[in-house]
Amino acid sequence: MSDVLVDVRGLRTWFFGRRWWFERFLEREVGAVRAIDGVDLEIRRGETLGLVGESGSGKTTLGKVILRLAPVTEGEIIFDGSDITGLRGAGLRRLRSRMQMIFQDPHSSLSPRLRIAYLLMEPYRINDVPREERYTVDELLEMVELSSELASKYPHELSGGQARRVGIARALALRPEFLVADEPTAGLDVSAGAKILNLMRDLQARLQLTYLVITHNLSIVDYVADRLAVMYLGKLFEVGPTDRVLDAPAHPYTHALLSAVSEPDPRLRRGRARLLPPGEIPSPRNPPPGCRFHTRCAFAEERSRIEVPALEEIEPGHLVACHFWPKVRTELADSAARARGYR
Amino acid sequence: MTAAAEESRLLEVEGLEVVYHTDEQPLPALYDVTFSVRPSEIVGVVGESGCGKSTLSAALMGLLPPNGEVTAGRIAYRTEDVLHLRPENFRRLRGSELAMIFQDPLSSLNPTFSIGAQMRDVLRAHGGRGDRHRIASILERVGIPDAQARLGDYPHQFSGGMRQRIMIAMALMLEPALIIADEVTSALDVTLEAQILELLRELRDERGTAVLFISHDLGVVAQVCDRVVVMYAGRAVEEADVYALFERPLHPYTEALLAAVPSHTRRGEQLASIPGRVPSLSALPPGCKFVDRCAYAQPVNREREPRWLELDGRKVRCNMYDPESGYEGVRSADGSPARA
Amino acid sequence: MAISVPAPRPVAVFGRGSVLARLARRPTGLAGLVIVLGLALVAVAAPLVAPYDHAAQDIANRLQGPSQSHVLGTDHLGRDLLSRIIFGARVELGVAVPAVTAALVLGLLLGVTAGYLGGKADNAVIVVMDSIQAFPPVILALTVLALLGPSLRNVLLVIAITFSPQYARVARASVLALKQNPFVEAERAFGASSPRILAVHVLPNIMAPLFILLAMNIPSAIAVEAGLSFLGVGVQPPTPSWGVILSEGFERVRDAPWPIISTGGALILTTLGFTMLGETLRDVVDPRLRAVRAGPRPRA
Repeated sequence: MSDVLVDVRGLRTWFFGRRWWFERFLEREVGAVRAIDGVDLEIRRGETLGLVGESGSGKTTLGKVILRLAPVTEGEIIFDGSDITGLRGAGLRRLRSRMQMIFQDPHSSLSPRLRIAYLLMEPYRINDVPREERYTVDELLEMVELSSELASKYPHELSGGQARRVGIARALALRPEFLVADEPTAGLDVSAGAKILNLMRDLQARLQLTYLVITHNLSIVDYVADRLAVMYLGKLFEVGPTDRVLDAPAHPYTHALLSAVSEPDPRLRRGRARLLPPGEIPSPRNPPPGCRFHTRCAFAEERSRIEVPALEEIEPGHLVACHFWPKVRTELADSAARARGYR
Repeated sequence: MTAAAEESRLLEVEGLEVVYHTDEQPLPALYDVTFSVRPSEIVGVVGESGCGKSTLSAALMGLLPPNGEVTAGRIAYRTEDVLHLRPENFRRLRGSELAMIFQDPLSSLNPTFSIGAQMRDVLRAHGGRGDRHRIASILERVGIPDAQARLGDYPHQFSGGMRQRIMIAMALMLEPALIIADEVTSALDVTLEAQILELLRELRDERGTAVLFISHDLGVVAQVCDRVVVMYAGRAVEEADVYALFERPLHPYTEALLAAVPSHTRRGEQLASIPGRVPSLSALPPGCKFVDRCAYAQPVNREREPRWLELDGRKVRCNMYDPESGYEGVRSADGSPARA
Repeated sequence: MAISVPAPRPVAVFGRGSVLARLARRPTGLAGLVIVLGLALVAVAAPLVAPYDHAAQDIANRLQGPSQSHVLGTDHLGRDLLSRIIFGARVELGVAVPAVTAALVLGLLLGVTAGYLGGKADNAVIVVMDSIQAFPPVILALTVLALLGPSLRNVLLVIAITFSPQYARVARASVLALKQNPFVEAERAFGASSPRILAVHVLPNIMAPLFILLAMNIPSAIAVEAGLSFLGVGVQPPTPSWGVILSEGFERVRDAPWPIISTGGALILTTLGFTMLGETLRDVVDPRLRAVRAGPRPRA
């Protein structure tokens, strides 16, 4: 049994929007939203990979594409050794029981007119799962530490944290091996979020789950992820073990993200400003040529505009896509340490 | 408190109480909230959902919904009592001295008017002239490039971060002394959030604009505020200088909150979450509202609602620091046991 | 970050705090409810309520004004107007309600198909709907009835067709909005097929505005039927459709205005009742208003 559970190769997903029929012949690519534009990524069995990025980075799309909820324009997805890129029909349905998603907005991912008990049993009904193989409603609720009295309620009667747990319970119903969690703590208070993260850790240990956690919140990733991938405008900028990437980032954007994180420690205020990249993220319809970050990067040179940097391994397991990574690393090493609270 | 010191306060809230009237029973959203904001100060109000901070910001701007009522207390702007102000006078205050920016700029900006037109309307409503130059320069100041050319653009033509800046520009146009910022960075990406916070700090340094910064995010508050008020269940439970608060929180809730924030120092362990849940407004326990979740709770806390105390420049609402409460092992402000 | 349209919260129809209770609390809602229910009762129990047989002629007492024996007077054949109007209510509701319901079903099917499938199906449905709506309804009705012949069944058909585009549009718009919602995607993630998603998750959430439209459309349908019968191309005499009564009374209006006045009054009352009901229903079901009254949602 291979170590790698999910293997994404050369993935591109472009959204074209409504085209007239003849535009298909002309292969009009201008104006397409390049949500994912050339991504290679491995997720190992039993690990938690954090996928980090801001809006327009394509991270949510990547999660959905892996689950075959969003289209693939080019490339392959290999799950547990088999190519699932073109899977359809019965094969796809079988696949669904092995990989599931925990959605970002807890309330709107639950059908509003149905009771929780019904919603929890939906996956079984849809997939004709025989009774012996089903968890009961009570078992599912208990797995996510919710009381059985919630079973007869409607989604809008639940709090954000409860709704999110129901979403997790539903995702677990089919006994998947792989879970994609989209912003697991979004919209939750600090303590509710902490409980969800704790729950996810427990479940991972108990049920041998592999997680892909998608978030823009670096502190979550810092806490919960074994490895980390930083995404920007459809491409990966840096991938590696969480400790290494956050202690000694090699990409200017990773540095920027780190320095921008509002740590709950006022002493970390000094001298962060200069690391903030000016301007805003360009539109994914029209990404900058060459290195996508060059329009906002302090290290950019002529080469950045022309040549797309490839992901290269700079230490075992740590990859970065930057022409100038040695310089970046040394020049910004000091601020990285300060950003993480080392004094 | 000398008269001069009182005069220098821009905003003063004293013993504020707000109640919502519903079909079932009145909900006590705020109780005995007291704090102030001085010029050039950035004061943070932080708390989780249900703590009352949105009610507070609505009350301050006179924007409570029809079923909300201020049942006690005082809100004074530069010693002028705003609760009993006539609507037209309050309108004069709002915008020119006091401005507010909200979380979701898309729904706070009118999509059918260009931003130039909207800003001009604000100027005109306060008796100014719709000066293009002035509008453009404010937009540039908040970081909208090419502002003069973009005056005719509509809100949907700007990105989320830009719209937030436009809102800030609109708030700044009349040069208010105080800006109330309600969850302004919650919907923004991390790098944008950092830029907006930096902008607020710069505005404070350049113009002496004070900010009341309301947020649920402790990290953001730590980065931008000078003083912080922590709220829980409609009450202010602690107030302190930001460094002091994070270094040594006095109130058990503040302490628990800080412990629940994920950070790399806790990888591999369980995150300390706060047991239990925020009490529902319709079922608040008597006595201290935090009692069911507090690590330091004693029976006396179930009966006695703690007082708002001042110790050594810090303020806290907790029986643990109150010698008169009957709490065993009362402490003083530096955490050590109090002298009898 | 995607913005999803908040999905409608389910509400109880009966019981405290429910739609019915809130409706009854408002004066217009109560009035509407009373009128509509009264009308329905009268229509159903016509033989019991009407003082006379609607076809019973009494030439001696023709064209009389209101009196003790004939509360609303008599028509040109001496038939009791009140009875004719009561039986007429039966005809009106008997046409309007099935017709509008048929319009709803037809419009729902087309609208959901268009909204859910999009693309060519959507375009096709829109074209058809636009064509129907482009015709002035009366002209369309007259044409169809001229071709098919005047009868109750054909009137029903015509009304169903001319009213269906409204439902189709509302259904289509609701489906389009709902399609974006994460819960649809979530169901798909479990492997739910499109028919299942439509039946179980989409349909229940779009029905509310359609029912309100139904309530508002019934008076229009009655008006259309009355109009057609008035012109002679709908229900034929002696069936006491209000349009027929109006038509007969119209010819003799100078001598005896009572048929017109009484029937007109009945029409006005009915329209008022349904409209008040429909509009109040719409206000009551509006989720925005509900939120303020209910107080804050549970936290943490």
